[in-house]
Amino acid sequence: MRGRRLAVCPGDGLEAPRVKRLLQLSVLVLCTGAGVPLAALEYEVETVAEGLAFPWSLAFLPGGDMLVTEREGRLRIIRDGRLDPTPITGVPDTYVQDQGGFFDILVDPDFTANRQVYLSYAHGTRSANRLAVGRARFDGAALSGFEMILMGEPDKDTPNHYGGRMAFLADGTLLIVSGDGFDYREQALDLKSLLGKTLRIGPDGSLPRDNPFIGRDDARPEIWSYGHRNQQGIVATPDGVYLHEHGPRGGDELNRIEPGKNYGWPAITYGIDYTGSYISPYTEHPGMQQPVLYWTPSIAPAGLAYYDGNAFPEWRGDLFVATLVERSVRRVDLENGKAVGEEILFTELGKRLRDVRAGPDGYLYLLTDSPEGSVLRVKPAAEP
Amino acid sequence: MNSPWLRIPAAYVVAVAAAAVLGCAASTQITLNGLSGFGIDVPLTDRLSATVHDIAGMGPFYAQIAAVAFLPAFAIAAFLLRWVPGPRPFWFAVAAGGAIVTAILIVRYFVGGTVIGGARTPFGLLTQALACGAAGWLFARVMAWKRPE
Repeated sequence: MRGRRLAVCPGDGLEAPRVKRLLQLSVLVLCTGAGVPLAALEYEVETVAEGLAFPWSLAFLPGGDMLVTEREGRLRIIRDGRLDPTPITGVPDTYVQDQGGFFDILVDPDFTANRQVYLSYAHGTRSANRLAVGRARFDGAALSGFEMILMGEPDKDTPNHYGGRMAFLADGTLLIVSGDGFDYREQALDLKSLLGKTLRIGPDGSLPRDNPFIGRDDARPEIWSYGHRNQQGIVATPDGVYLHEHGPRGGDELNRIEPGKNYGWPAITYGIDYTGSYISPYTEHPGMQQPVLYWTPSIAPAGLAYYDGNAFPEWRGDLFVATLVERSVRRVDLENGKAVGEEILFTELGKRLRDVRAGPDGYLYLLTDSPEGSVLRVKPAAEP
Repeated sequence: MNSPWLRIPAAYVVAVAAAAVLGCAASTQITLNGLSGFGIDVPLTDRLSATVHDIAGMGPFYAQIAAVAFLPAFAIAAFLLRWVPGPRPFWFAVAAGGAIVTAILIVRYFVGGTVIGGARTPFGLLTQALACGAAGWLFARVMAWKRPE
């Protein structure tokens, strides 16, 4: 246990706006493996925007504006630091039910030249729905020329476990995580199904020729890794690709993803079913990968960021995991692909956190999961 | 036990308990069979221990579902049996099997997924109907049991 001084600059129902206060908090510091406790930092949290209906994802545009998806099928923009009250037009229709709706928004690495943004969302109806990904041109006010570049298969009749996060690799290809659809969990191991997979496509929906299963009759060529449950965070780092996935009751996982590998769900898991029965009695099996970390009881990981900014030099090279159930962000200290330390942050906010992002300004950004959700910014605490 | 005021609750408790044990055991076998389809061999000893684990872990939850589902099902069956011919155990079995399938589908509609893992496929749902059908049959047999005078 270590002491930490926090400065909270609230909104979001915490305190009167722009009033800073210092809190003396005890913060749980965890160690894993042979690591050492992580150093505590002073920071302050300020509200960037509020009144967002279940914000799901955040993307930074050149120049400092931000795009925010709302799960109920709206795309919003924070322009010059203020939330534009008018949603962006030109977005596709989506299937809004339970976990379904708009998911991730991603800005093309070459956005300045091509103005492309990528959106993942639930598509279809109650009896036949799926994860879909499309791209469109964004002119600063509206999307135009929306084209679908990926449709999940097979259709499912459950409104849950879509996955939906995306990340660009350095080679310009796009990784998309596709959840297992809840009732279809065995399909995570079926290479003819796109459920429970990490998928890799070109930005135009084309198939990269070096995908691990390309050319095989018994596998879908989009598949990059398999054996996943409901992945809601993926990030490409200099050390490789990491994703996290919700477990059932316990067994949330952080995995380091390598192409062609099997991550085991539902044949191996550290969780059990919500009813108390086994998903599987096994936690390991030859040919199936072990997680970098797993969390039991569940923390419900819902967003993942890799921090390489300058505002918090001590956090450089770390992963940040937003959690819904624990209402926190887990900072994971990575060394050579192994987690050597963990720290629980931002529990003082008391909010379910849907996403965490590392901004180009070096600050950390959080999305709260609520019908009156907010975008929060974490900055180093001002000097007294 | 000759009084219906004792026999009815006793038969109901026996039926709910039997449904929990048989339903959980059936769910375990279906779940493990799903893994076998992907090259995961589950030896008999693991099957047995998993079955015991699931009865202990899921049994209380299953019993609650069955308890709620069986009440109206048995009441309707008892009412209709005044006019419907045929063996009473058969019709109580049909009532219990139909009740658990209905309950599973209603819960699925509202939570967006099948909470009993072994009932996610039509065949799995059928095994749940059969497991609870046995419980319904047991209900009728206990109801019919009378202590010798």
